[in-house]
Amino acid sequence: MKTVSPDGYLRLKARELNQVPLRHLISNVDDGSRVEEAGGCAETTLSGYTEWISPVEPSLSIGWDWEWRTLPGKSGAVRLGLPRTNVLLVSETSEPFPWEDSLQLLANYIDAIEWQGVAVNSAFRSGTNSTYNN
Amino acid sequence: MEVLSGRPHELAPQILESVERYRYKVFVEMLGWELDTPPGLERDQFDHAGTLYLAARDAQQEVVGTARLLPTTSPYLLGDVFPQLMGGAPPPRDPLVWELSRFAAVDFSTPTGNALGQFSSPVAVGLLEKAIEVAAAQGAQRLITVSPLGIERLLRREGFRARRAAPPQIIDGHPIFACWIDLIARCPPEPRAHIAQ
Repeated sequence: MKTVSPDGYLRLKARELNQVPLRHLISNVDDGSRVEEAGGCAETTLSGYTEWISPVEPSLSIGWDWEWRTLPGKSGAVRLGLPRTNVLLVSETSEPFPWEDSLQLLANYIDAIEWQGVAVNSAFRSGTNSTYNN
Repeated sequence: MEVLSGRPHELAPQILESVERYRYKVFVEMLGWELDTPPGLERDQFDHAGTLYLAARDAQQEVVGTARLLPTTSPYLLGDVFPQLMGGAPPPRDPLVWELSRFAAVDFSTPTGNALGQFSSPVAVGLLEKAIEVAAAQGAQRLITVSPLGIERLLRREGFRARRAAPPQIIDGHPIFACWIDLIARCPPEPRAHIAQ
């Protein structure tokens, strides 16, 4: 069983991360989100955060900011910046990655899963409670 | 701005009273915390002769920010009141870890009106840097604090090395969490990179 280290990190290997189911905890829209009208066009600035956890202890916790992007032929939420977490990824030989490298690996992990629908829906409707299984 | 720090016997009585009045305005009147505290003053069981206080004052010597430091080897807020925020791990009892609590930096002349208003003032960064300096002088290597979830975002934006100890929990409708702050030099705020495409 994994434990939280005295330094507060939950150390995981990347392959272990891929075996952890994630459950949506909470998402919200930033206070500053707004629709601006300029020159006859409406520009939406919509952003927020989302939080996910693993349903088994010790709990993995990971959250990140998102922003709504409107691109030609495609609109949706994208991750913004690096995640916030209690996880420190380690190599197969249990050597911890530098913190920023670990966060980037976790960001790559986030980008490979489907979180947008649950997060955005929940941000506007409290009570959504979904589970993402790898 | 100046930041005063010290234990009660090292601070003038009027400074401590100003801190308690300021805390009442922030935590009871502004944030609506239901605390068992005297009218107009805010104090709890963790305010005692060994508590280290910080008080930020403006040019008119009005208190514009407060914080409190406690060693985790004695009773403290997270360990005694919110241990569940550690996600099953034992709360730290370590001379290298101090708790930062009752952190507030509200500029009442320009209230923001949001849930993170207690951290909204530009005073917040200076106050936190001073708290880190004071804690480090006590031998601390890390701080732990009970905070609203959004604080982790703000700390990162300001270049502090902060991370959660466990998942946030919804308490009284608000997500709060236990936050580690490493006592290392603050890095300049980095631009919010748009990594995902």
